[in-house]
Amino acid sequence: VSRHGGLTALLRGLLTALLLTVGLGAVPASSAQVTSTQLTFILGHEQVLSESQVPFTETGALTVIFAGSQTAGCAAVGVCPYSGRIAALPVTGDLIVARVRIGHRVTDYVPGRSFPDAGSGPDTTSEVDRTLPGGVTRCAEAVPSGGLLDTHLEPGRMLKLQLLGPDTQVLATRCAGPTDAGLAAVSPRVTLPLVVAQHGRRTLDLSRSSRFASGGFAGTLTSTIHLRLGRPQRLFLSGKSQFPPHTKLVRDRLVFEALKLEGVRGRLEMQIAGTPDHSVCPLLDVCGLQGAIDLVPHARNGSGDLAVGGPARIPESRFRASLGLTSGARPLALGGGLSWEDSGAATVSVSQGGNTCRATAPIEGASLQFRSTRRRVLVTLGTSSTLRSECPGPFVAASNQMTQLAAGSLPLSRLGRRTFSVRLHTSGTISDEGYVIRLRGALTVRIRRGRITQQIVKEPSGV
Amino acid sequence: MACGALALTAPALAQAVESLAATGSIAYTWQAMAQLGCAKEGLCGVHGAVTFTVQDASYSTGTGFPPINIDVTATARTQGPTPGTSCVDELALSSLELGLGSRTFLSHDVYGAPSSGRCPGPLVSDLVRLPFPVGKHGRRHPSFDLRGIRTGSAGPYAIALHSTMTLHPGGLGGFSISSFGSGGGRLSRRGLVEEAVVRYRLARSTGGLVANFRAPAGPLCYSLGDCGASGSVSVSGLTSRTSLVVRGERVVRRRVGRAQVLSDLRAGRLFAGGQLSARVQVGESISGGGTASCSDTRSSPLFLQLAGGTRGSELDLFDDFGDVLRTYCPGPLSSDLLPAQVEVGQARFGTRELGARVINAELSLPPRLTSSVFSGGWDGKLGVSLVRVGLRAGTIRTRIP
Repeated sequence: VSRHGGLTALLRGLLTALLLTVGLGAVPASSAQVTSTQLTFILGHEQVLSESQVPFTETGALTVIFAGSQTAGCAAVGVCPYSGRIAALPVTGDLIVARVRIGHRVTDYVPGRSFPDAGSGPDTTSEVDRTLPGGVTRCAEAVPSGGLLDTHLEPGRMLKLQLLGPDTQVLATRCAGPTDAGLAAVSPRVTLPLVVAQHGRRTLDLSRSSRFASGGFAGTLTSTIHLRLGRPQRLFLSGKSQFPPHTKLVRDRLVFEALKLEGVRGRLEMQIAGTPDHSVCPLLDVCGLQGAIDLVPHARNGSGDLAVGGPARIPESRFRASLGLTSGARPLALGGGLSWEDSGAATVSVSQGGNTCRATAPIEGASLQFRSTRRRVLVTLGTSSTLRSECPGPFVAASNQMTQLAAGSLPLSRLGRRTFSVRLHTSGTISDEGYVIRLRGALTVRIRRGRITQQIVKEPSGV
Repeated sequence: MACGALALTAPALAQAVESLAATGSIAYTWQAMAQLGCAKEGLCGVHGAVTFTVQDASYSTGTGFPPINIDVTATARTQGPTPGTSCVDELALSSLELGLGSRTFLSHDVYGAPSSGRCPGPLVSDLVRLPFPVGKHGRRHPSFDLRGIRTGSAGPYAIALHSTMTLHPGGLGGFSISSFGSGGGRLSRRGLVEEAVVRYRLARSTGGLVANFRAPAGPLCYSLGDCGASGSVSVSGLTSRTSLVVRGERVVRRRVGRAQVLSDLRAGRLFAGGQLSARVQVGESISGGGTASCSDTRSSPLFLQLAGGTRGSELDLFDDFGDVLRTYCPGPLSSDLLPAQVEVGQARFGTRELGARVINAELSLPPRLTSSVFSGGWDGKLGVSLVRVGLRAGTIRTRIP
């Protein structure tokens, strides 16, 4: 915090955490696991009463051997030339279960997926051959895992753990191949009482061998994975000061304004191309590759906050000015975020060597980030969705990262209206290993203001 | 009486950190060339690249670190030497750190550095040698032009850096200014320090260390293309052109005689230590599995460090780049072969030997590898003989914090 300038940075950090972790398929940034602070912000004004972290260690591996199959419909998808192997290596991580109070109700909360600890090597590797009349070319990949263990709370306080699911990215690489969602039906899984999972200290058998036909591919999935749940760590969040005794504390005011998404209109197109660098493109088998990812939002359940922070002694009028509610007073720095789920799917089309692959990729969700300059509010649209499909293609967002897709701005005074819109234009070109992605299109996001709340927090002086 | 290690008080530093948005890409590429002798190692036909995914970038001043920091993940990929042979390895590299102007360089540090990983290709020391193109535009909120191509050679490989990257203000992190440090710091004072300085020459190195390794069948060996391959890595012929200066000191209240200083040194009360730049001969051979037979020998830089305290003395060989045991063949990383990743050999002996005319030590490594990628173990001992060529002991008056 000290390096980035006190409360403003604290707010920005927490709001970034909010942006990156709101359970919309979005994932935490670098910590590779959801922390208590992030949980607090995921759940907004709801109170986190306690949290259990159960460390897990895997042994074994998950291997998928596949090939484009006529019986699986490879001709329709355009994946007949591809065959290969994907291996997910064992990882370690934490299973997190929180007890939260929402109004008068106390309930359990489990993030949709658990994340592996950052390791020293790849979590997923793949070697995929493309068979052409003139020979065979190969795409080789080694990437960190984009999330392991699909975790769902089922009725009766039962916890379902599944290696592959709609929310995991275990099999995702830049090469062609089956997706996690496509193999969810044959994925190894185990269901156990939540209280048993929270107690840890047991080994779960997730080994299984299955045949599959999905997304134009047929093959075998072989898991030898055993999941060892370790000794749980239970945190009780009392809300009392967490600073050492005798720390000098100052009072800061945090003002939040709730935001609700009214709608998103427009479309984004990403034109993708394999790198023209002939010393790189053969290694990822992207020489001559061209394609597009077309994204029409179907946003729902969008909500977020604007936030202003500063010393509690500053007149309240300046906090209100920062939210565009009054003029005259000098505004403070404003930050904020708004995230939504997206039930739609991006259409993916990739052509290479006379073959065209057509598939869809879940959009999952997107986020807006707000940041004020003197009289304007800068708004950026980001996604943490990889937009990976059965076709070869780039990671639009790198594993556990947010990629900026579009940006816009509006006068600070417009925030004072009951509802306001912001037009977001795409911002040029982004790169991923072996790929260039050109962004086209624009979106208009309509937002309704909500309740304003404030709280006084104490933090060490001089921070 | 002792006041611990002597250290300077850091002055206050004002920091400014600006988030940058990156466009374009960076790749290091290589190609084994007949005219560079690739046939000798069995590497003709190998070509590869390290590519990067940029996660974040920033420009900072006043931190004492290189000003441009690009957070990345990096992957090394190769094809060849035979058709259908490929290797891919995710590198333990989290950031590229770049200096500016005439000091333009790619920093290599604890955050790693680009290399070919376990695949056949150039080493860290080869790639960080390629000067990085960095142009700075603007003063208050500068942008950076990293575009350019740089070429060179490394052993049997022609190597190149291809960059189309530009960095502009406006990343997601914004701009911040802060300061840290002691706010000017406490002025140092003059005081008495008992000091012993012993200079040693590396007189002789005998024997050697040999790691025999095997890549067992498993998911990772498919991506490395070496399932069932086996080989060995040897370390021998430690040499150095400079001398090892071992210095021990502590603050005292009154002057101490030479004999007492030497006695304190031998009792470990001076926490003495010194480091020496050295080179070793590293040889590797690998064959079988999916790999073509390859053998290579090279002279690798490392550090020989001598340290002594109350609990005894230690002589260690340290890996500077993290790939001292790599050659141009495919094969294990230092982290696959060494228990502590950077210690290439270790010997312990009594503190009383510090300052002796001759120190003879035998460096060794644990017999079993702990890698998840390679199985095998270490054998042999690397004998090191240090001969004293200078000794100074006494009390000096100097500035102390």
